[in-house]
Amino acid sequence: MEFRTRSLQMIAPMLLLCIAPAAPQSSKSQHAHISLIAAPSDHSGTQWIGLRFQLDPGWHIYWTNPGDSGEPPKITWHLPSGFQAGDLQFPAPHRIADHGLTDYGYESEAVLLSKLTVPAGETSNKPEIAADIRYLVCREVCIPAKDHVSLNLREQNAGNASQLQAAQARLPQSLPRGVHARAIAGVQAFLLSVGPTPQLGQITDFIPSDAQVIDNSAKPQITKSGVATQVRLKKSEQLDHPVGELNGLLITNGQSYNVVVPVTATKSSRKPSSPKHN
Amino acid sequence: MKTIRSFLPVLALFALSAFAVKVGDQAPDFTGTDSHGQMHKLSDYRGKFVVLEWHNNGCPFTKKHYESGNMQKLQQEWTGKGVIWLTVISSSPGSQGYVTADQENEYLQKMHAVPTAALLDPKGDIGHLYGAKTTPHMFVLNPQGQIIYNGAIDDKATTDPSDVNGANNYVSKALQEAMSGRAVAVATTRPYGCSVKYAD
Repeated sequence: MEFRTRSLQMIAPMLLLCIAPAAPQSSKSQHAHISLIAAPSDHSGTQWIGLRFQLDPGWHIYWTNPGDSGEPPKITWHLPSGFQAGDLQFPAPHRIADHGLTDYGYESEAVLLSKLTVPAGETSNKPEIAADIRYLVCREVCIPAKDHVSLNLREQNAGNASQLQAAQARLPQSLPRGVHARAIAGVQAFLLSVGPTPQLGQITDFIPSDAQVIDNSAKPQITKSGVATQVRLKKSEQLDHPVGELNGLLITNGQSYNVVVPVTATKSSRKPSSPKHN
Repeated sequence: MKTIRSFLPVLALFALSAFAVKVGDQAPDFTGTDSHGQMHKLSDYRGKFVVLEWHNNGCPFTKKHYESGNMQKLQQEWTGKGVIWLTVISSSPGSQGYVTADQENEYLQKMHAVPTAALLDPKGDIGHLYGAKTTPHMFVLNPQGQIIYNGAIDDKATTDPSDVNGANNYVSKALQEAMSGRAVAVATTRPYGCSVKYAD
């Protein structure tokens, strides 16, 4: 029964696709509609461009650390001479349950950003930027997909500016000045302490940037003690070496922060390296 | 009813963590039926190296290694050196990768795949016993029946077949090192691939 419901849910978007006209400057491929968006340049020499994924219901794409399964999108830019695109910047992802595994990614919509450097005195009438994207889109099953999108920077939609601003606001930030994070490594878990936290709001999650360090399916245990917040993170079963720092995103209700947290080993966590077998 | 409801999450927890095996552990024994109807008891292969390969023919990560011929090449090379290679299919009926014995035999023939055997595990018993997470997920066992490698097939966690060349194949490395009497340098890695499509 459940299987039938799923099939129907998958058919519905396909039917819609049959009657919807194709949008210009972008393309619809397997379960994701991808488009490039740009806002008018402020003539500072750089401008943000966005790669917008609109996903069919139930389908998702992945963050840079996909978690237990999956693969992040990869982009190859095709730019006019002198233009340069910065690294793709990803908003904070969500946890996505997948047959008992936990992945990190995006459902319904995600805008990935890149900072475009425009050469001084750029005068071309048709500065066209284009990108080839390879990505994995998954629901019950995963489908590798490719897409090519392009955009003429002269033909910009004014509505894009607000979309790009919203996307920038969703990028992880640095911790505010005066807020510090450190961690100690136990045998089973890392204990991350952040403080003072009142100016951060409620910490709700920690998402690791590195695979193979934290057990993705063990939800962090978060406790407040005074002005600090402690986050207990279960170690990954695959972690077989000491960790000097924890990299990841600290998620609060409303914001996300990039953190690089120095890790101190407790005596008990410094167990001898695992025995070797042959 | 209430008992069943509270019991189910506990079972799910066991399936994923408690039974997961670690490098250095004695590999849990099992008996599985292959696509020709033959039974294979793991402990009967004591004295030989054994590779366990979790498989789903529709998963793009699995396809990367079969459509590029990489998996078949590994199967050929290592079974040629006396290794027992067991492909295990733990997809539940109705889910991606589930195959009947006939379908699997057709697939093996079409892909020129040469594992020692392809075990059909539609209930996920063997998968849960080993805590197999993804397809592919690879285990290597030494002749004493201990797990000497648990993790990814290689260090390129992508679906792109062109990444097979130049990848560091952890399974081959583990077998080479163990066969020459050395310790396995990289014994545990994060397996990459699609989730194993166990019965819910």
